[in-house]
Amino acid sequence: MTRYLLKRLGQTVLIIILVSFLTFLLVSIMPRDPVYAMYGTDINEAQYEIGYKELNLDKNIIERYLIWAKQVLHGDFGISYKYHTPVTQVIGDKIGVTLYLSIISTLISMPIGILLGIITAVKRGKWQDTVLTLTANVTASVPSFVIAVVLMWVFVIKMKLFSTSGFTLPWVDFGQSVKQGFLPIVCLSLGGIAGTCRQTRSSMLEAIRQDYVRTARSKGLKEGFIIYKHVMRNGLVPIITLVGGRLSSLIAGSAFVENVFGIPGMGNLLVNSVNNVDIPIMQATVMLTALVVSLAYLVTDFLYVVVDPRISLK
Amino acid sequence: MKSKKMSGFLKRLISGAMALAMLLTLAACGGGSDQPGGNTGSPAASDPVSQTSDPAAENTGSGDGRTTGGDLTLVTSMFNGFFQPKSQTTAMETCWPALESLGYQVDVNDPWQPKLAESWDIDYDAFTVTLHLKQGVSFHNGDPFNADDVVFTLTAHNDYGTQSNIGSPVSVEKVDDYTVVVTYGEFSLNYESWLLPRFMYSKETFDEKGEDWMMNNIIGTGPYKMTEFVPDDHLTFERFDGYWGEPGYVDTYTWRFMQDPTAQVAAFMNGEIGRVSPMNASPVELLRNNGFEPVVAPPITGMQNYIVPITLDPDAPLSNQAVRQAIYQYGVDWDALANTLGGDMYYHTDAYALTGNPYYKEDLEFTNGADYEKAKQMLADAGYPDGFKTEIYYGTGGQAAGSEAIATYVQAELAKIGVTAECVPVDGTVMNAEYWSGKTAKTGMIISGLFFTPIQTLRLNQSNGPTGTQAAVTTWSDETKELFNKINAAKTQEEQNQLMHEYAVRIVQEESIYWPVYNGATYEFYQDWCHYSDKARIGNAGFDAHEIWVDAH
Repeated sequence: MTRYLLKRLGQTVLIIILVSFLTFLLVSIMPRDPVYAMYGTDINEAQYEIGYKELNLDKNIIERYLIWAKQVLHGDFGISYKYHTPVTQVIGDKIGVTLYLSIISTLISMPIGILLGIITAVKRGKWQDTVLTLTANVTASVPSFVIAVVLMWVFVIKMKLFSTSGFTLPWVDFGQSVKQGFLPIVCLSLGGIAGTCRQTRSSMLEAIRQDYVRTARSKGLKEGFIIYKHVMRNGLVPIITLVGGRLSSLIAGSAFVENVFGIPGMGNLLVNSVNNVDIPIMQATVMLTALVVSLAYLVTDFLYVVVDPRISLK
Repeated sequence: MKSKKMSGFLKRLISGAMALAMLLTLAACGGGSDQPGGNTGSPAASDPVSQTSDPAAENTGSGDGRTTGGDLTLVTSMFNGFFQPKSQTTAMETCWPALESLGYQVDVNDPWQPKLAESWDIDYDAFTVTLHLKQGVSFHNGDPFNADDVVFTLTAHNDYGTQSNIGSPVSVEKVDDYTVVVTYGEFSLNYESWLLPRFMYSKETFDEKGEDWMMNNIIGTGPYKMTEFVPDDHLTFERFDGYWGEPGYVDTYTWRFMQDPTAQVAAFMNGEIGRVSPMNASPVELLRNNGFEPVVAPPITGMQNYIVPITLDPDAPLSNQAVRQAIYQYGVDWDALANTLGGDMYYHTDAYALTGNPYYKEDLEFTNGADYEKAKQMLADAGYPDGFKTEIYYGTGGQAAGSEAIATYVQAELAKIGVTAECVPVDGTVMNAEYWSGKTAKTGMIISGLFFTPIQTLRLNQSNGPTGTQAAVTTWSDETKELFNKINAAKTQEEQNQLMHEYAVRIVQEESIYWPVYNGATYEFYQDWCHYSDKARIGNAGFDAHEIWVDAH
């Protein structure tokens, strides 16, 4: 177990190094000039030269990467070109917002999605199944930003129930938090509910067909007991992969929704960093995303072992 | 059995239809945008009298009915730093309640009015401007405003490479605590336009806090002081009790950050913000359909999108004047392009820069629309009977964001006269730094856009002159270069206007080294509780906080 854990952590470190280098490489070959991004385009040649050297652009990419990596290892991700503050501070200000949205939407979407998935599986072929499955399929097919615009139109412009943008934490101002956060959370949750519902349905149907379920029925056990005791316990194991997937999209998964609702979170930050050629932010955000994804899949693997004794970590 | 199957199928069909109906109902809830009376949330429906068909008339107050108090929330799509010498655009758009300039001008034809400079003397022979500063003025942190702050602010433009914004003075010197002399290297009529609109910053604060702090905080001398700034979320100002002049009417100003135009329009329709100024036609249409009528700002506040040939190769087709005339004067239906992309917000003009400029005259409009056959004939006469291949470069981001649509449209039009053009996106910063400055060896056409106040027009001319390049060196004739130099040497405004007019004729009609694509009018929508006077607008982005007030809402 410890050996496996160390091995996976080693792999995670390797992935982070590879991702950081690839990001560095890709950013370097972007058709954008970081000197102009940092100092503006109204600079003369002498000023350009100073900026060019300050950003180490006179060195080759390996040297630049090593200088950057050394700074990162000392906790220095540089200064944001756009925000003019340390990258760690910018990310620190925004990550809480995105985590809040992602965690709340996951806490909402997982149980509801699982519940609806169980209903569709148990009521397979009946109208409940058809309505819920069709709705889930349509919802999963519609991009979240389209849902965001529709929700905004209906609940903000027509019904005037919520705010169009902004973000307030509930412990700062609960009323304002609900007004600003309800629609983005609904928007982020709908896709999760639909995906979880579909996955749960197929896993449950797979379990329902198993011999042990048939045996349980032939023993005369009640249907509810069979579903709860035999089908759900086995059918819900694959759902853990969905939890991993949700965790992996914690950082950048809400970018579109954040953009539409003007929420100052990580998704918005990533998109803005690309638009503004804010290279230090871009690199740090991509690295952070890679770290979260790697850890999410590591956690998923461990959860598998916890819920399914047939699986062992070797 | 068959009947049971059929029954199951029918059940599924019915339930499927029900699901579809639910979704369609949800979508239909948003379908009433084209029916003004149908939206109970719109002012037209809830209070037909409150939204006038001409809000400008209602808002042009003379002082009567102005009320003190209330909060005004506005919207912006960018916060890129508040220190104007480094980041000028954001400062103009969002900082006007807190920062003050040396002087201001309500309209381009009006005389300059004093603000932090009580008066100024210009010596056109010695190329100097002597600024006499107002005394008894304090910054929001209590530091007194004096000559050190003016010298610091103006010099900072040089430090941050934005010296062309203030005309690149040779020196800025303090004479005493309230007198500063700015010396230029050559004569110009634009000393006031260069110096007076600059916001003033505290030297002491900069020395103490540094550049990064100044980019994220505002310490000015204005009637409002910054109370909170959360990047990408909001910026708030409240009335400054220690202000040296009359206090502003509104209690607090808040800017909310919204990049998405749909969100901006939604916030306005929801009554969350007092003013919105959409940059393209569809939100304008949406607002109109919901009972709001725009105030059309003066042409001088608008923007011109333009296309310019670039080439350093004297043998390239675009170096040939006849080819340029064929393409620009006859090869593209510019009116249709403007109408297609912007409805009545956009209009084509053949005039260089804005129709509101002092040198604008009707004779600058000279074309009668596209004539593809004539264009093809002109290309054939110029030695290109089968057309040629070229590239159209368009900027991405910032003011050039709408350029892709122009590029695609022009590409389709050029195909009609046998010119095969490939549309190539170029990052906005690279476009400005490489393409406009003539460093690129590329050959083709570039599309860009600018808010052309007269001073910006001249600035563009200076930075892109014959030695530097708009249209690149090869396409500038000796006559154009000579005319360009005369503009900057003009001794009176009338003379400069006349030369600018000649220049506009030459570069568009005669040589076609610059071509206006369309001008975009600025459409502004105001809530019926948000008022401003006809003196409220300063320049093309700022406002005077003493000319804005709100009703209780």
